[in-house]
Amino acid sequence: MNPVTLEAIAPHAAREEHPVNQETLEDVPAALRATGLDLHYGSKQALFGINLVVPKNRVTALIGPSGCGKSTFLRCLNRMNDLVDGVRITGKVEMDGTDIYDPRVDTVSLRRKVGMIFQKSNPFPKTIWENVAYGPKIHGQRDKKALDEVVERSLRGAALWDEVKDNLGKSALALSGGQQQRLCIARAIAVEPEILLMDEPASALDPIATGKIEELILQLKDQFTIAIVTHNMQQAGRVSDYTAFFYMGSLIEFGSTDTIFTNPREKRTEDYVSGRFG
Amino acid sequence: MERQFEKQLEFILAEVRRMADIVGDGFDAASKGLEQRDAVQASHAFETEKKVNELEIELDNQIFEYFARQHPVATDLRFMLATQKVVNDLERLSDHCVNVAQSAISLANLNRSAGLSEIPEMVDACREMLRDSVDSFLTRDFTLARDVLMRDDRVDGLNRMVVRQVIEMVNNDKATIEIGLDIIRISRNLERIGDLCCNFAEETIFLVEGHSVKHTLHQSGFEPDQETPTTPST
Repeated sequence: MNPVTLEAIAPHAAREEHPVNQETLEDVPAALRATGLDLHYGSKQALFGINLVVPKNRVTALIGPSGCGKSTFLRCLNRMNDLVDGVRITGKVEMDGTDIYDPRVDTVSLRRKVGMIFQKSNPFPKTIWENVAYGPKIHGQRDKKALDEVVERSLRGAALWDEVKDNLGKSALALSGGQQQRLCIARAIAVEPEILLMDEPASALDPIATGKIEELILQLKDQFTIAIVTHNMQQAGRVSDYTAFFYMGSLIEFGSTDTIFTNPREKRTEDYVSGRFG
Repeated sequence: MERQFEKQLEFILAEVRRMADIVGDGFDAASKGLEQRDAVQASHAFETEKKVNELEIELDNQIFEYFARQHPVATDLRFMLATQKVVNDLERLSDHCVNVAQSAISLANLNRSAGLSEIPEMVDACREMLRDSVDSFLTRDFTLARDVLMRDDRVDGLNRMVVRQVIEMVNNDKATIEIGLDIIRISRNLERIGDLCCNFAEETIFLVEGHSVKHTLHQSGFEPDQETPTTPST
């Protein structure tokens, strides 16, 4: 007996992999494009031929069990791994048609365009105002009025302005954990990057502070492209448009978050997102 | 090691199987009561309905709790969504069995006999559809689900035939109107049972394939509302 396919009994349903109003990756321009990316820590290979497009003005979640390479890959996107001894990277990461690993690329300039938020908030031991103004200042902005405007705009962008506007001279270290993380986001967006990389930005926060960060991510994607590493499957489902599943240094599956969480192609993805391993 | 959520999934599946078995018992009671003109036999369907209602509430709670605690995704999510619908449909199916049983009792209590037209054939077709649709869901058998969907046309066609024959019978002998109404009621409920079996099959396909096929299947010969009788001129 011939195998029965969905096409045979419901051709309309079988064809419609992307229902109306659901964009496909081809519809969105790429903010970053990794091609054949390998990474070695000394003799140990941590990434294996990663090909992945980070779509512009979308949130892309990188998920996978500990040690799968997702944070390593994230750090490749603004050359943070250059700072690690013994790292060797081959392949390409293109941004606006330029390979960011081209030796002529200025990493300071790159990291202005591709900002990073870390798991643990890391405000400078300075005032709130100085934390946010720090980036624009080192990029040459000296005008106090212009810096005030940047600080306000960035704090508003990070949904923190209303909470700190009367205490801009207060130490950043006096803020709560959630506020410190939003301050770090304000600091990152103050230099007007194109892309924000977030490495488990809410893993140390309580549910209320986590909720605020997630709301913020959804607001920020209108202006920025966001790539976020998270161990929280519900968070990936809530905030991301696209999801990449990494396992043992390889990209196993990449697709719309709807697909990854409702009908993934790969069994390993299915097993991971449904909590059967990892 | 089997994890807690996998045990919960297995428990829910086992309860769905139990509920389907009880619905099957209700169907058998109603159909045997009809066939043997045995009111006592048919009335057993009422007892099964009570058990089905209790299981519906229990399974609703289990599913609700599973969503709240486990946040299922992928196949687990599709399974829970499909199960929720199947449980609801099983309860409705049990109601249709009760309707058939009520008419079977009514017919059994009549002093005069009447032919049951194509009803026995409908009963056999529905019994097989019920068995296979439930099996397809429990075993995630796409091929069997597809086969069930293809059989619905036959039940619809038999229903139309029954209605035509009853109209003819009543036109010939007005005294048969009471019998005719019961036969049409039975036929109509069997036709709905066939539809609900198709729902199970559609849920199986959704579960296995991840796509809904609702409202996309137009089997040959399917003509909605064609069974609506037109009064012949006398």
